[in-house]
Amino acid sequence: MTPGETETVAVPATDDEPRPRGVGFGPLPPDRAPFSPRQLWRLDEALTMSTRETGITFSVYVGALDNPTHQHAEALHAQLGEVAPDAVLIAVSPGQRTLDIVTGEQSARRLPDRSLALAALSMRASFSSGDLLGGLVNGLRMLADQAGRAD
Amino acid sequence: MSVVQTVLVFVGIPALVFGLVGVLVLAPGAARTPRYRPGEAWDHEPVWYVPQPKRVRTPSAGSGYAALERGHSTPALTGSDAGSDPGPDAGSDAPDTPPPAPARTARGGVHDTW
Repeated sequence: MTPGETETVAVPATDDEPRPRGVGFGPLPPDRAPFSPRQLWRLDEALTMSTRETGITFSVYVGALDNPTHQHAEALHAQLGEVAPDAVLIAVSPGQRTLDIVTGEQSARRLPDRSLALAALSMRASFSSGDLLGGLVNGLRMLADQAGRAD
Repeated sequence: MSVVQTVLVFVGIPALVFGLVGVLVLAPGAARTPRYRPGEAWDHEPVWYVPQPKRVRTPSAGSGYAALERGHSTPALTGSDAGSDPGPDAGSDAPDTPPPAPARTARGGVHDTW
């Protein structure tokens, strides 16, 4: 409970004791990192390898997106700056259950929307079964395979 | 064999074995990061992962990462308009007039839900 609530609401004395937090119950604390270090390592490997193989800058955003989510994802893509034409942004909002992939001017030539849809289909299958990181890693791998090697 | 020894052998040792097995089963689950389940609220901070520039050396990547690093500090990286609010005095027009957005760079893309 926050201090603000205790000021305005009369709280019984017993509620002041810290409640035991069961494993896996209740909302996740917001400061908790979404991925474990081992998962982050996998994501790092996938990002680095796919970017190095293809010459396309892949980036992954995980978090809430404003509606419409695809426009927000496009705005994020524009923030990539000079690498944006060569970049692919994968924006996932687990809370809204949306997935958006955005390509730039150069990367769109190597990854047409049809290829993106195929990768999105595979990622969606993993996401819907709760495997957030597996979906991201597999999606990155599929996109890198379809883009081919750097010229 | 005394009563104490009997109790230790026939109760203590089985209890120890059960306890050990229980700890081995439950410990990995307790230490693991909670798993995402579809439909659950996502209350983590937004995160944006980009490949490490030092480990990626490609002709097309070039020196464009300077701009990428600048992008990390932009307010929109927080994923909402809350971070771009300059203050209470400008709060009335801040949501309507966000800082000038970069030119649109997207050429293709897909949107999907699950």
